[in-house]
Amino acid sequence: MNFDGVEHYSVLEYQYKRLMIKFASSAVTVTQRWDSRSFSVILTSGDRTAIATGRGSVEEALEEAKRKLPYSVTPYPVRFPKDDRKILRKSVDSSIMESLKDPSKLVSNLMNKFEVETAGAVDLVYVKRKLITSGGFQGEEEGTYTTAYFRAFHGERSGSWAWSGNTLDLNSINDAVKRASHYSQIDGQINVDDGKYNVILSPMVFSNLMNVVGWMSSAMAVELGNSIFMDSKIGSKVGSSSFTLSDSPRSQYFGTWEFDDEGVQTYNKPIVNNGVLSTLLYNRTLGERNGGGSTGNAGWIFPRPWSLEVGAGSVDEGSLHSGGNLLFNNNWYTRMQNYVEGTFSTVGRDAIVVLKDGKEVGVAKRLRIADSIRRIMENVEVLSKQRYPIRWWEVETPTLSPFVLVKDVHVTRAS
Amino acid sequence: MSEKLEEHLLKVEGSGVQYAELRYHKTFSSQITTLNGILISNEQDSSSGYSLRTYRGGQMEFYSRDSSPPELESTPVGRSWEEGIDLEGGEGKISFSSSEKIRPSDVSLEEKLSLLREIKEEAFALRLSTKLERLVLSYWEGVEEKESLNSLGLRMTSRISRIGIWYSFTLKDGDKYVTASLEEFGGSGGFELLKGWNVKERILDRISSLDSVVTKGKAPSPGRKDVIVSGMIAGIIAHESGGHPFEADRVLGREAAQAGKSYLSQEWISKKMGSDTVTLVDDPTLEGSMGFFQVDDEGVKARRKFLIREGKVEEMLHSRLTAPRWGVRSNGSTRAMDYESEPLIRMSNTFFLPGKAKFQDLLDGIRNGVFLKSYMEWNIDDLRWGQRYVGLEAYEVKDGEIGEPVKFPVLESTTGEIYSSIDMVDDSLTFYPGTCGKGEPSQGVPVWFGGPNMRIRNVTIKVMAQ
Repeated sequence: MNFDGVEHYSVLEYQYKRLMIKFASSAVTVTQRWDSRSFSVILTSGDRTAIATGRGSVEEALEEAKRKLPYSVTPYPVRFPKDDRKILRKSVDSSIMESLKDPSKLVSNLMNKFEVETAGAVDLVYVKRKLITSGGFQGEEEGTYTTAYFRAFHGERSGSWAWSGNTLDLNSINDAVKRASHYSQIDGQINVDDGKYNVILSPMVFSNLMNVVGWMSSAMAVELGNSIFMDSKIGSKVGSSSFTLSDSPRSQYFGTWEFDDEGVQTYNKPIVNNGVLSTLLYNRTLGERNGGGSTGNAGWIFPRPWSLEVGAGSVDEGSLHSGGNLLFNNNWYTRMQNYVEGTFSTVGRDAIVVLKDGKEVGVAKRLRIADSIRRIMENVEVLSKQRYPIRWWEVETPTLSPFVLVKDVHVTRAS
Repeated sequence: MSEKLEEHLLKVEGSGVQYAELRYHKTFSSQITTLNGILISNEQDSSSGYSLRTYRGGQMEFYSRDSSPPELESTPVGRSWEEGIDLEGGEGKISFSSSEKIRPSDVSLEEKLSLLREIKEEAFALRLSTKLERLVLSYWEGVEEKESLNSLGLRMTSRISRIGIWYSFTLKDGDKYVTASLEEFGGSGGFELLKGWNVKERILDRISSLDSVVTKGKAPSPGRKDVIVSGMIAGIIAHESGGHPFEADRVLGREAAQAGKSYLSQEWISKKMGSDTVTLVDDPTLEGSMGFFQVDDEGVKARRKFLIREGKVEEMLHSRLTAPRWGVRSNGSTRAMDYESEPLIRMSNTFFLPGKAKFQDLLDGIRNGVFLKSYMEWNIDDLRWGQRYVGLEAYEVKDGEIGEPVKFPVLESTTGEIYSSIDMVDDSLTFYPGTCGKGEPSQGVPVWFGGPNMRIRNVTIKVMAQ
């Protein structure tokens, strides 16, 4: 690539091999394989910045970015200071690499575990990430990860669970199949009307909501007016004292990266610490505008979390049941009504377990949580000590989450 | 058609597959985003590479590679879900493209930026009771090119150019904020599309209108009411509870772990599910639309599909893989997002057909109701039955007239109730662009959805939790 006439530049490349097996009705629907590369290139001259991204090739996008650069004055120019560090990290799981070549053993083991009609996906990824900057930084990380999730059906009832990690842990994947099957088999339909309930959110559900909070903790989401933190000062109370949410790029589980898209060293940090807003997520430009520095979360334009972690509680997940009226196994279709006030709704999916005196007494249908993200964070009562590494179709940023009991959650029913 | 692709297809065909399809797929898009008139991002995105999809031994396989056409790998694993493939019919040599009078890439960045800045200037000059805190405007343009061939004789090239504008804004009323995010402008064609959209006027109107709702709007009275939904809300209803559940792969359970299942089954064909007023179509052949194409990714000619005709279920959206299970032929509904995506059954442009009534006729029959003009929050369960739409701009309807603004009423109902309670639609038809998500990895494909203004009798309006 030619960078003549450009003061600052950086090239970020991902090279990946990926295999995904999808299931439905306990059979394989499709085997998908990818072997490709993606590129992101940023160019800055003075107060002008343009970005080109591409999969397969970036040449055309790069030419266009160069053509537009002279007209691209922005208050957020991305610059790369002198930095001659070289980082090399390799953490590749051999089981993932073997199954990428031949998944037949993995698939036959898995299909033997399907007790009821099961759908799902197993996604195996090898990725090499390279970053060079005009400041002299050179970084290369090689890693692997697995994402597995299942949805079990028992007549009209269903249950879901997921597991994800940097390795291929067959026991955990089998446990996910088993747990999905358990939720699908809870019997007895009970009608639940609109109202406020003490609700247990499973790690699947809480991870989905924390992905929204993680996105809103980006300093650019705040700049754009799309965040519940728009008027929150660092150090202000934004949640229950039991609630801690961290960005954990050095996670032992997943979403593990050593440097961000500007070459800044990543580190684990609470975003909300015991209910108090601890930091937003910054790249260099937004950090400097805020009078501080980067938090190692670039995104050249939009800083983002790498891997989210909800602080563990101190009780067993089963003992949470005594405080709850409903347990949401899973959810989907989370949509905001107001990004600043945090009002939203999300649709209950799979088992919505009705609890009485701590026991599972039946399942409810067609419920959604229609409340505010702010209030959910404030009303966190108790968290389980067991946490689960979740990533699936509705949880893009990998999230380690416990079961969470939230009081007075507004629930509605479509009827 | 390039010799390289022809040779590769021949090689794959020689390895014992029942069906093979090979695609070179290239996309290019460019987007500028301004915050209060200031450029915050200027991004260009491209993708180009090859995909191969095969059906062998009853198994469907998909391969994608950037550098060269992919090779077949190890034999498929596990019991297959598929039951067969329709290998008859389809197009041979064909080429199509969207019409484009002014190439968007020929228009300077300066001109595009000045368009966004002009909207910003006038928006901040509006006399509002609230304070316009932030206005984010995003202009995008893109081109999608494909070269597709399959073992049934398809030799297709296509080129579709699209442009659009997306925007969001934040109003501050005392210490409270209201946010709006809307995608109203998008279609296939060139830069000339912008002139017909009245972008500035419509954005200014939305801001003023929401300002009025925020400052003058009262809380809705909850309960059962007659509701008029605009073409915008009719469109999202058409897409979510009409289009998605008619995807045959979803009905059969193929996407059960991701996008979910459907309230429909094969037995619903010819059954009544709505009032006589309800006719719902999916039509990829609309020139200028976001979901425009003439031949699908399996080489089947595209056509208008009547999903519901006068309240009766007529047909599903099919692929070569689902059609044989229903004893029908594919109706050309498959599309892939890019070279890394398998073709799936997708909607194109999904909308309720208009009637002959005027908007005033809809109002005339209502003593105490609500008009939902736009929405912000919406969702639906994964059987596509229980759904919710929260009004952004909404008004009471009193004795046949539009009345005072109403703050954020919630329409929460079921597909069955809504479709059987639509008793009149007017003669308007408006379309809205969207990116429809489905598949794993998730694929977003461009679509339109729309409809006329529709009157829905006696449905539940709720109050949003504060």
